[in-house]
Amino acid sequence: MSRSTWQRHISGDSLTGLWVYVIKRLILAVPTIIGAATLIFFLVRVLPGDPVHLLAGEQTSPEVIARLRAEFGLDKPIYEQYLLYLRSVFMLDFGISYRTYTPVIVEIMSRFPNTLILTASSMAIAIAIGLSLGVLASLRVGGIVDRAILVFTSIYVSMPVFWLGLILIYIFSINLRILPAGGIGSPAHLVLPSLALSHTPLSYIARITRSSMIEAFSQDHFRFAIARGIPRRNAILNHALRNSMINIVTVIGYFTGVLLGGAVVTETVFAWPGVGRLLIESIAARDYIMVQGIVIFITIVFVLVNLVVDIIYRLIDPRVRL
Amino acid sequence: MKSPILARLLILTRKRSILVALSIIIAIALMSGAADIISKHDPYRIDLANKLTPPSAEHPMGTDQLGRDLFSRTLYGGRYTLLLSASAIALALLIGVIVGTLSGYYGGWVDMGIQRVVDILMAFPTIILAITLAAFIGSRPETLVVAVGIAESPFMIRVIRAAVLGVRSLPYIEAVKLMGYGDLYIITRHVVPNILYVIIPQATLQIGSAILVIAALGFLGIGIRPPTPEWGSMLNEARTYLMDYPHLLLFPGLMIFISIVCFNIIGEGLREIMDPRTRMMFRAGVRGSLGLQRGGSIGRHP
Repeated sequence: MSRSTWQRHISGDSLTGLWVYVIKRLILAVPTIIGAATLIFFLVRVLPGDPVHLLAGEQTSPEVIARLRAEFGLDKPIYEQYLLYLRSVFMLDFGISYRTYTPVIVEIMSRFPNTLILTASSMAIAIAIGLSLGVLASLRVGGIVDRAILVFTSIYVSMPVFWLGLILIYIFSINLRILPAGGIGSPAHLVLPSLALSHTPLSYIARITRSSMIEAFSQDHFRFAIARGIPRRNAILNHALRNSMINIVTVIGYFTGVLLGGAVVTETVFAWPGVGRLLIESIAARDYIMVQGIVIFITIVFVLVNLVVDIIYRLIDPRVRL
Repeated sequence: MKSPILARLLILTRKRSILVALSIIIAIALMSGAADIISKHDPYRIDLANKLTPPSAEHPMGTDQLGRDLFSRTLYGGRYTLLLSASAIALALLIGVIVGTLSGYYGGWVDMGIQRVVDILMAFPTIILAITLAAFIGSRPETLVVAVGIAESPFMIRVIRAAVLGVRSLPYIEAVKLMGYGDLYIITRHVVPNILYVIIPQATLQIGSAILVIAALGFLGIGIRPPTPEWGSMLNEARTYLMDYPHLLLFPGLMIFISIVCFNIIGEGLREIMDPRTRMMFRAGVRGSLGLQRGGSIGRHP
């Protein structure tokens, strides 16, 4: 993509178009989030049995039940409960955890930075290695390096993350004793969980890079660049790779969303105190108010990240008219 | 579905990697199915005198922390992991074919409504949706199938809808319509058979995804619970013994891994063979191809 395309794209009319698009997408995200919140609302309440028993646990005295019933507004009619619930979701007020007696959002926010750090470092690994492998494979299509990379990525991606994590712990923490097996505290603690978590995005980034590069090589602008006598290396980096980035960025964005919301297993394996592990702890403790809040939170994050990805995609692809 | 698809399925046997993967899956499935014949040990029988023994002639994979035969448990575990995953995908397939076909065939408001519901389901990462459903509706085998089936269904619906959209506008469907046949007849006799080339690879790829989710749920303690042997929950039980008895983790993990690799190889191969347009779909844009690949491997990343 040449600089002039960028400038033309970012300026004037298309910028207004972009804002219109962003606002349109934001408005469209609202019903999705309402729908997800509704699904969870009814999951908790449609279940056989009293939601208070579900929320508070089985062994609770009648007085406590009555108090909770009033506290959660469960003595009100269901539509009123639903409206109150939706209002609180939009104010990010997910209630009070029954386990810790702290507001759910406070608990989530205390864990979210850890999930962010883990996602960022995993994606950094995935992008660095994935891009390199993809470009390397595309330069030698059909060759031994290409085939090795293809086989590696398809096998690597099939590894269950919990098993990969345990293998990493066994090798690096138990046998070599060079990296901590779990917990948090130093940059070293970040290495194994990031490695484990990066394996799926790494494989996909490598594959999409390879296929996009191969496609870019066959396009006229690349051939023209070579014909103009631009050094091959520059042509590959500035023409083929830059064009491929449109596809690659989409994959990167998609996985950023998935990792932010779905690092549940990795966080559990490595005792990483993130949002995913909080979800599992809360399920184990039958703290359903917390579970409900975390799931809605993850959904909101996931929807917003996907929205940002779509916007970036439109921003960097000059073919997409806003 | 007589000629072209069957013919393409036959080509399958010429691709060696698919043949190997298929044989391995069949072998694992048969061994799990015939677990009580193959292994003479009861997978539940506790024998504390012989706990945590390394692999031996008597116990080919050794014994676990309660002295139970690991080989036996791994075989029986396959019944749960594989059968639950396959059932979950069968459910997702049922939902996908019905809902996806309705959505793609009728279009308009039906399509709009259905796709907004799919949007909502897709607002959850697959594993989160499965965890949430399992946490609320329970972790009995049948509820797990429902939870994972629903969690896997959005991809199926999207892929099938897209395929139906492509078929719907073909002239011969118009012709059948003009001949006065009803929608049900057209859908079952003409639409669905023509999108089998999409459905079959997608379902195969998503079995790999479902295995991962079922095992992850077991591993997290939300799925099949001990003492029932399931590959994921066996790993969860064995976690504490990682330092001294890594063989406890080797076999169940390996089984999950091999099964997923095999289903992915078969699914990818099926797609390549059955769908001549794979490459064109890739060019149609990453989002589109992501949707297609998702079931294979993107749909699962706990």
